[in-house]
Formats: sequence, structure tokens, C-alpha cells
Amino acid sequence: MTEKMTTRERFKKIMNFEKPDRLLWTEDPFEETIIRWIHEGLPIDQVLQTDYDIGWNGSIYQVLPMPHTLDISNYFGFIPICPPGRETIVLDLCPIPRHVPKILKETEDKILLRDPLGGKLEHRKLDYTMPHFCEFPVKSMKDWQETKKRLDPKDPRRYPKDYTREQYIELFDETTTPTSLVLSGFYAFGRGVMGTAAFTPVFYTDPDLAYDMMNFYADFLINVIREIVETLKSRIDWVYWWEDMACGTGPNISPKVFKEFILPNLKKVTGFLNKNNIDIIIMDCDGDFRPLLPLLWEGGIRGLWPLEVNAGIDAVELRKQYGKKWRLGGNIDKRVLTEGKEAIKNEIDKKIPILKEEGGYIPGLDHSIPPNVSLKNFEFYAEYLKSLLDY
Amino acid sequence: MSQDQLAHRLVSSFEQIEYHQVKELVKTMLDTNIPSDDILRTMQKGMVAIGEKYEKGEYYLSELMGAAETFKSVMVDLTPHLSKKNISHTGIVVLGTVKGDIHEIGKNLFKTLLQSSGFQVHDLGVDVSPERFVEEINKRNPDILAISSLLTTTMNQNDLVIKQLKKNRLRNRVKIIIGGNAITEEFGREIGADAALRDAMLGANICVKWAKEWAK
Repeated sequence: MTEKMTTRERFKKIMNFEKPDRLLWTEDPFEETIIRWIHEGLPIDQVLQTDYDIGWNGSIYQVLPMPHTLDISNYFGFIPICPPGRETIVLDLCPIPRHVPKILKETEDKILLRDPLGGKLEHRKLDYTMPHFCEFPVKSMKDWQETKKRLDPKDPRRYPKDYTREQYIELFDETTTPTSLVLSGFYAFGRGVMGTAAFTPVFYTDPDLAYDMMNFYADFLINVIREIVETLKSRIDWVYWWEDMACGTGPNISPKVFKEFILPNLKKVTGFLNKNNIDIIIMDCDGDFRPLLPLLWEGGIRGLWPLEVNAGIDAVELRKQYGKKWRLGGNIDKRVLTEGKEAIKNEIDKKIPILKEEGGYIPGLDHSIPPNVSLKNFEFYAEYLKSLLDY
Repeated sequence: MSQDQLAHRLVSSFEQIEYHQVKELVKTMLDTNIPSDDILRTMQKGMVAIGEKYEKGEYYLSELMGAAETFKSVMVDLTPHLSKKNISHTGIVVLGTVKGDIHEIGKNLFKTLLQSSGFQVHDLGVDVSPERFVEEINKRNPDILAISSLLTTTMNQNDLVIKQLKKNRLRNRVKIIIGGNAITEEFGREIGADAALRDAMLGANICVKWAKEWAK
């Protein structure tokens, strides 16, 4: 069957609250879940994505097929939130040079590592789950000054090896996939270098450090992205703004802290993006962020994903309350996928018809697909959801 | 400045979470020979005020954790001055994050909130097996067992801990409170916990309420 619209055209329509020929659907599975499903019969040859790339990271003159990642999007028919490929611009925002990972302690089932960011983490040998971050690189202003030395925005290693203005303009003009720029937000950055436990109260325990980190990061970010943003401008369809700054009971930081430390810096970055005709900035944040919504809007955020149901977020309610203002994504309760067909059907029926009609919404689960979801239940979910999205 | 004036300023400063100011005030109070247990009681009053602001929605996690860090830091300065007989224990709590789960921010905040209310807390850390919880209950004879789990995939471990307690005839020796992002009251009831919450502050308030009932 001939497709009427490309995925990129559909995405743009949805972001403008217009009607595409059919809705898009997005998911973000954990690798651990995919591995479970492979054990349950998911054909590995259809999900193991292979790229043709130069072997040995450029040290030999030969292009080889390289196993790249486990990608189930084509198999099930959804679009990944940030599709692996050059249309998703991933710049290196981390310390360069990295710290060389080093095993500090090894037991029968666990390894303690010095990680590439300069912290320490412990992980199980046979697990794909999140490791236990035991120590973070920044504990004081002194550590922060050291970390800053590795955050030179002009370091050319922050850009992809195949980046040239001409090549990327051509690619971004021609692609039929939605194009995106992936950025870590301010809370995500602070949490990354200090850890949640130390960063969340730092606005009170060491406000000078908090100011310096947030102000520095705004300038750093603008200077890193300047080249690609000023080159591609509106060829970048949207910005994925990763924050994760809330939990089930509310935001990790108060509106007062957000307004004082983050908002002016967020405006700086979004102002720079807007000046270059990039307006769709979608925040990835679990938990209940609702008390921050007016400030996020003021700061230039225009979309919200994945809208965690367990934290009390209801996309239908948000749409009723704010009208066609926020672009929304996700919000199908992941927990129903462990409960069975009836629960899955009820959850989808409760939300999809209304949100589909209202527009500005991309369906999906309200979190990465957890490993307690069976392949059988996900298959049912996928088929039922697609039947309502005019696939 | 009189002791009352200093105490008033300490509560007010603590309520505003002025970390350095609070530390300075405590130092001044110690230097002017104000009894350390009086200072501790003043700090506890401040912590109650913070909790009230949090419950009213005026404060958020950043303020709660800022206050907890301030309290912890003051306790480092204050503890050497507290004589053992002056350290009143509201109750004994054994606390840990369940097996397979390594999240500890909520657990650690809950621990500080309990300590600021006078509880003696034995923190077993993260990834704690049901057998280890049983072992510690036998060893510490706590009033409360507090179990933490963040993930939907690990919340069933709470059930396994309670089953292990029942198997060892320990269930009726302790109150059990479970907490974490995925926890619901319904789940708590199903597995036989005495309280089930997602909010560390509300959880600490329940423990204080239990302790008050025991003290009657």
C-alpha cells in the first residue's frame, strides 16, 4: 500500500495540531525487555540493527557490517522517540577527555568501576539494569572547577565525525524521518555531575555552586550547539530536552528554585533556538511536574513526554485544562501491560479516541517498556493501539 | 542575645533553610553554653515547621532535602556535646531498600526525617534480601521495619519480606511501613503492611504517630 504521508510530514502535522493521514506511535523499550522478548520468541534477526561503518573506529580502511543496537521499532511499527541515525543529532555534552574506566573492585557477581564521567558505579555482571552510582565527580566547588576544565564547548570532538555543513544540510533536507537535536536539561546536567541526592538540595546548601553550574551550563550548551543550530535552523524539527526532574509526589525542585536558578538560563538556551526558528522543544520528564508548568512554558518548553500515570498525570485532563497548547506524548499506563487484555483495552479506550480527535498528541506508554511486560501482552497492546490509529 | 532570642532566630533561619546561617547560630549557641539538648529540641521544632510547609505545598523535595542536609550537618557539630542520657530515642527502626533495587534517595531522606524526630535508625542500605531483614529484626528488636522500593518490578519484594517475617514468627513484633514511587495503599493492604506511602514526610509522620501511641 502506498503511504500518503511520510513520517516527517505526519510529525509536523501533529506538532501543529493538524490532522495527519494517521497518527504516529512512539515507544522506548529497555534492552532488558527486548532480551526477555527474544527468549519468548521475538526473532532476533529482525531486531538486531546492523550499520555499515568503518572498522576499528577508523584505524583500518574497510567498511564493515557492525551490530549496532536492538531496535524493535520496525518490527512493531512505531517510531523510536529519538530514532537511531543521523537525523537525531547527538552532540557530546560530557567531559572530554573522558576518564578511563577502571575496575576498582570485583566480586563474584558485582564490579565496582571508576566510570567515564569520573564517578564510581557498581553493577551486576549479568544485568542490563541501571547500575548503582556510588560516587559522582562533583562534591564541591573545587571538584566543579576541575570538571569544567573538561567541558570546553569548542572541542571538535563534540561533533559527529561525518559532520560538515554541506553533508548535513543535504541529509536534513532530504530525510523523511523527523529530525531532532538531543539535549540534557539543567536539572539533568546537575544530577549527572553531582547525583540527585547532592544536587537537589544544593540550591540551599551551596547556592554559589548551584548558580555557577547552571550559568556555566547555559553558555556551554549554546556554544556547543551554535554551529549545528545556525547551520540547520528549522531543518531541525524538534528538540528533545531531557530533564527527569520530578518524582511521584511532585517536582524534585520547587517553583521558587526553578525560577531563581534555572528559568533565566533555560530562556537563554530556548531563546537561542527560537532565534534560529526551532520552536518545538519537548521535555522528557517522569513524575509529577505540574507545579512547574507555567514556568516551563515561560522558559520555552512546548511539549511534554511521557506523562507518567502513576504520578497522577492525565493527558486528557491536561488537554482539557490547557486546550491546544502543550504537545503531548505517552500517558498510556505501562502497568496495564502486566494486567492483561481487558486492562490494556480499557486504558487505550479511555484516552486515545479523545486525544486523537484533539490532536497535538503522539501515543505511547508512559515510560520505557519495563522488563515485567511479556511479549504476548505487548503484541496485543500494539495491535489494538494501531487499530485505533488508522494503521 | 538571650537563649530564647537565639532559639527563635534558629527556628526562623532553619525554616528558611539558611544552611550556613543555621550552622553559625548553632555554633554561637554552643559557645554561649546553651545546653545541646535544648538546641536539638529547637532544631526539631524547625524540622516540624518544614514538614508543615511541605504538606501545605509551600515546600518541595529541594527544600525538604535542603533542610535534611542542614539538620544532618548540625548534628555532626552537636553530637559530641550530647550526653548519651540526653539522646532520647522515640523508637528503633530497621530500614532498607529491597533486593534487586538500588534506589536510596527516598530511603535516605526518610532516615534523616526519622532521626530528626528522635528515632534510632539502623540503615541496611540497598539491595537487601528478605533473609537479611529477618536477621536484623532478630538482632535489633526494632519497633518499626521500614522497607523501600522504587520500581514496579521490585515492589513485590515487599511481599516476600513480610512473608519471610511471618515464616519466622516475627510479623507481630514490628510495625511495618513500606514506601516508594510505585507503592499504593491498596498494595500495602494486600501484602499486610501497616502503612504504605510514596511520600517520605508523610511516612515519618506516621512513625511519629505510632511512637506517640506507644508512649501513652
